[in-house]
Amino acid sequence: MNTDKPNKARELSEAHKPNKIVVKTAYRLNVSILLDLELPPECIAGIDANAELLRIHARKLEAFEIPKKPFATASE
Amino acid sequence: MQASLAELAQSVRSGSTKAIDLTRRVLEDIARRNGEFNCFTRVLTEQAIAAALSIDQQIAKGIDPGPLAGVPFAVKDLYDIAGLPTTAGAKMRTTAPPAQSDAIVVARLKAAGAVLIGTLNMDEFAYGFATVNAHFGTTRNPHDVRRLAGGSSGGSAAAVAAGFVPLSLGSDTNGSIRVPAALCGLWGIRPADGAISVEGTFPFVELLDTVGPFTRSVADLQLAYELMSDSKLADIKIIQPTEAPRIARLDGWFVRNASPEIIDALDRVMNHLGASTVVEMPEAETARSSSYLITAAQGGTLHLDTLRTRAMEYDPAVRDRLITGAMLPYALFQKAMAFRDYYRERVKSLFDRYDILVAPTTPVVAPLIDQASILIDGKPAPARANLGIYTQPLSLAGIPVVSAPVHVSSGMPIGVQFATAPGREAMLFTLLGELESSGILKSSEPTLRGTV
Repeated sequence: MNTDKPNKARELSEAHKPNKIVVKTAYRLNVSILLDLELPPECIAGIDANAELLRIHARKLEAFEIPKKPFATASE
Repeated sequence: MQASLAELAQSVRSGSTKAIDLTRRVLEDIARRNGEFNCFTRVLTEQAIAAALSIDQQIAKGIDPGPLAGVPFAVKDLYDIAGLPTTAGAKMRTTAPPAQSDAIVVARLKAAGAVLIGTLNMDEFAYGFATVNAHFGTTRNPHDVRRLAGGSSGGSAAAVAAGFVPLSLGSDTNGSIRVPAALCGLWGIRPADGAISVEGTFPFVELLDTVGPFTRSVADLQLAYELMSDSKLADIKIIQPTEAPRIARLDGWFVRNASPEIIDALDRVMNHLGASTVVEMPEAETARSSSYLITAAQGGTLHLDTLRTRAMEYDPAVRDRLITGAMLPYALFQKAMAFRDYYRERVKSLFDRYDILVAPTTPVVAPLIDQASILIDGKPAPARANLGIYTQPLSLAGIPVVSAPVHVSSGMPIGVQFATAPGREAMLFTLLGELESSGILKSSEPTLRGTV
């Protein structure tokens, strides 16, 4: 009886989480198509971390509605 | 290096100090101690000695070399120096074609008699608040070598704080002069947009880039500022208020995440000023985000061609930021730009009611070099990326801002920002001079702590 089997299955499952594959593929596609840049695999973790920071700032900016007129003056 | 720039120059002009002796002392000091801090990337020994000898020859002939006669200075590694490649802190640029001429402000300081000693460490391509450079190493804070000097002009700040030179030049896109000035206990100014020429400096974010000096006193800062901008503040025709400056402290975003020691220093300054008015800049957080996004987008776009062919030659941390920035949707960049226009008008309206706005420069004192996070809104957030939370909104406004060192009797240095409207710089310098004279603002001497 091979008692290692369930553990191996778990390891494989952990190593191939769909979201990781999706993220990596998406970055490769984005970088390749949008930037015409061959994405070095070493970049993925760094891009992921930076993308998260940019997402936070993008959400803050998107949430702000720029008034049509800059601001009301005292005379208004 | 305790004498002021004017005193040093006067000593050389009067013949009581030889420029060559002063220069040799500086060069020897750098050779002996730079390893402790890693400020200098290139020491221009031959060029400096030739310049110093030329100053002495002029004096011997009765020619006045200028208001900075013999004063040693050094520049961030993104200023063009004729005959040398401008590295911008990047190893890949050490083989770039040499600059044909000096950057305008370098030429102006040389024309005033200053002696260029060398180039100073920085975050690669100025993208960072830490001066942790994969190629040229980390610059350490002279007040505690276990801590960051700040960035991206960390070498410039550390070189003055360590006493190698009394004047250095940096650049400030999002806070890269003000953050290291604060962490190293110095005076630094981000000038108003267009007040000092950036010609001959390696660009980072065209819309936000400025250049300025680091010094140990406000008089030195004003002298360097005037020489760099090629204008005397006293000659600028501005409407001077007949009453004392109207001062307010920026509230909300600008104090929300500040540590207790930063708040204490800010309170001491405001109490000393007798100013109790606080004012909200409600869009400050959005301004910070816009600045962040514009920086990422423009920085990424600037480097895209090089990234396509030489991505692996970048500092990995900077490369990943640039690639991510280059992927930002254009619509987002456009919105950040539209916000910028709106926000500048908004800030301009604040100066109808106030002359000077005061805010902390950084949320914390210099973090340890390996410190990963600081608390932002109660949650751990990247320490280095968040050192500029109070400088970035003011960068976007395009206004002149001085980071001034608050006098601390012990502990690490603390900086406070004093912002004003373009055209009111003379009023700002006058107020800062008074505060320095009173002792509340003062550049502190490093008492070395920690070991590498």
